[in-house]
Order: sequence, then structure tokens, then C-alpha cells
Amino acid sequence: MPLLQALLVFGGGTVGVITLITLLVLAPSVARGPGHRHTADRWSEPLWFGGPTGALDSGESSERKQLETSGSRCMQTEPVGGGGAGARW
Amino acid sequence: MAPVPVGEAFTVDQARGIERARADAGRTSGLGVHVYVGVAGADPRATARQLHASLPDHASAVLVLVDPPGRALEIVTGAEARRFLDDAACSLVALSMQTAFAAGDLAGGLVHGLHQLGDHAHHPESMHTLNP
Repeated sequence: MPLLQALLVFGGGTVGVITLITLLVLAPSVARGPGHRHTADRWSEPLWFGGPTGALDSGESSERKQLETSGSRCMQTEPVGGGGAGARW
Repeated sequence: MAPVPVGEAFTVDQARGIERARADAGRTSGLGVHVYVGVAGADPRATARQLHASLPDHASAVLVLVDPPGRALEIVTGAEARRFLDDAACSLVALSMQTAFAAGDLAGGLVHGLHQLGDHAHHPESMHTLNP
């Protein structure tokens, strides 16, 4: 068997299998298009469960802006004697 | 019923699970339980306090704030709510949620934490004190 023919038979088959597996792995993500947005963008709209309006809502940005602009005043309205805890991860 | 707008943060099933856990915690504890998931700025504790103060029933309310990008969790209790849910209990719940969040399970951590909040704040009615 000539050298060129041997390379095509053995090398070509191997490369073909590798290419096929790569395509099968990448195809689903390519078909989905661009992935999730950046983490910070995903949470740009706050999400309330049982919020001030009493409903599950993802469009509280106007209220949040209002809270942010009157921050110092809101801080003073915190009920005396409240508590809680916090954590970071 | 209109579909729940959950954006890209949670799947519909996850959002329903969180809402159910929140309602269960409120029913078990008799307190108003509220959950806020979003960016909380440079001082998450201050933001959580502001949001808690904006709640109509803030004295008997518990607010759970989760800031996923900032990796911050805050639990704020009102003066009345603190009688049934003290800071030590809040710390335990926060620790539990923190562990789940660190593992990447945001929805599961919230659901489990809310159930724990309800259990810790559970205050069964004392029947023998009703009749002197």
C-alpha cells in the first residue's frame, strides 16, 4: 500500500471521527445562539416575591429608583428593634 | 392566569417553588415573608433595610435579600418579627442558604432557607394561656 494511500485510510478516518464528535458536541450550543447574558445583566431587573405590591413582579425598577434617591430618609424609617443576619459567598 | 414574568433569573418552575416556599413560610410563622432578588449596590445591608422599611407591614415582616452578582445575602426582621425569629436563627438560615448559593443552587437555597425561616419562627398558639 503506498504511503499516501495509507495516510488517507488511517489518518483520514481518525480525523473524520474527531471532527464528527466535535460537531456533535458544539452543535447544540451553536443552535441556541448567544448564551446567557453577563451575570450582572441577568439581574439588572430586580425580582420580588411577595413584594410591596403583594405580587410576583420583575418590574420594580421605578420603585427601586425612588428608594435609592431617598436613601437616607428611608434609613431613618427602619423600625427600632429590628434585626436579622447577613452572609457572603 | 397570566404567566409569571420571571425574566432570565429563574425558570417558571423555580419561581413557583420559591413563591410556594415563601407563602408556606408566611403561613407557618404568621409573619410577612418577602423575597427580593436583585442587585443591592455597594451596601446590601442598607439596601435591605430600605426595602424592608418600604414594606407595608414592616414591623412583622421578614425580608430576604439576595444579590447574586454581589454574592450577598441579607435577612432583615422587623421589631415584632424579631420576637419569633431572633438573630441567631437568622444566622443559621443565612449559613444554610450561603452553602447552597456557593454551590450554585440559588433557587434551591432560597426554597430551603424559606422553609427553615418558617420553621424557626413557628409559634404555636398556647391554648392554656387563653383561659386564665
